[in-house]
Amino acid sequence: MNPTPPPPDWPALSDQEVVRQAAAGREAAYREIIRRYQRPVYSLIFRMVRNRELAEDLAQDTFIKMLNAINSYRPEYKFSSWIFKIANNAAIDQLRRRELDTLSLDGSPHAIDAETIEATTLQIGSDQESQLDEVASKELGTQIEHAIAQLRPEYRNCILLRHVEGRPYEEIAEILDLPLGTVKTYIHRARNELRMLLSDTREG
Amino acid sequence: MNAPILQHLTADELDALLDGAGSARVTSHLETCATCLAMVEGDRRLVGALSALPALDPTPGFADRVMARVTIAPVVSPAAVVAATPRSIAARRRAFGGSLFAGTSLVAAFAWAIANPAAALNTVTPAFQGLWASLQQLMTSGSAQSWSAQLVGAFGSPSKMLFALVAVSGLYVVALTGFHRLLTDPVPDANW
Repeated sequence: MNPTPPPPDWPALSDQEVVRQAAAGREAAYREIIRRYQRPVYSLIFRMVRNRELAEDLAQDTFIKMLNAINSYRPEYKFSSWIFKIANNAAIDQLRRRELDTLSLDGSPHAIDAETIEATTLQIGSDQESQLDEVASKELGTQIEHAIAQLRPEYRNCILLRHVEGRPYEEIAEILDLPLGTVKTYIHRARNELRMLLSDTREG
Repeated sequence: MNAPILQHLTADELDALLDGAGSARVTSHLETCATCLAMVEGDRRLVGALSALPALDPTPGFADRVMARVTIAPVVSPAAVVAATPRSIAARRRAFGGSLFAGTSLVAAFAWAIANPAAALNTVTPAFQGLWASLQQLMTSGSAQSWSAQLVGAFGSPSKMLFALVAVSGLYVVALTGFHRLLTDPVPDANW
């Protein structure tokens, strides 16, 4: 009798390897993909649509669509590009349908409750930071979240992918189906707008 | 020629600075330009704050809700693809038997015709008379068409005939490949 092979060390595997295991029908590989990407995908969608319930539905749809088509994944592309592309398309479609893209500084009616504000504020882990710094950082985090919400959707997804998710320009161009130069321009303009919005907030 | 020290930073130079790289021109420019220096410092603070924004978690049970609506891909091992099913084995046996019967019958018929030429000629002549008459009529009406001479010209020499044969064989292979692709299951696209 052949001994059962030991389960893979999932966190140690590359995305490509996990996807290969999923395509071979291993449920654990599906769950590993969800574990790896649920936070970045949900965060991106939430910051795009500014509604927790809606973001969760869209994130679910993103994973369902991606996992049900796992066999069509082409390994010559980065896996993260594929999933972020599906997530971004879902968010943009939703924004077009519901016209949630223009929000006031006070945020959307769904985004200013205590839970959302708490969820979107900075989490300070360093013991060295004083209580005063923590409060200041939390305030800055909240201000930035509100400022991001005011950007045009095409600037918003660029700045989130670049400076929140830390994706390189080339990958962002691939995710958004935009020329590299356009991505750089959008990110530059988004930073300028954010700087202005934040300085207005502080002065106000 | 001197470097244009007074020219403000470009977007690319600013990006390079934010990524921790900067040329000598950028460094010397920042020493003299308060506008660019303020922009760089503002962007550095902004990028730092953006990258410190927390990742957000969906509600507990997210993975289970997703998995409840996912169809797990069937396990297809290479051995399973190569291994024949009982149905395909039966089909292969039928095809092989039919081919064997047809080939044997053809060889036997030729052998009999060679051994008995007079009887063979008597047997096949009436059967082919009608067919031969139809073929003659077809050739006669075809030769009256305007494209007939061109067609005959196209096959007028062995080299032209060879070229035509190669072209027809090529088209046949292309058509077979096309049909094979049409009959293959499509792969879902999923937004690529």
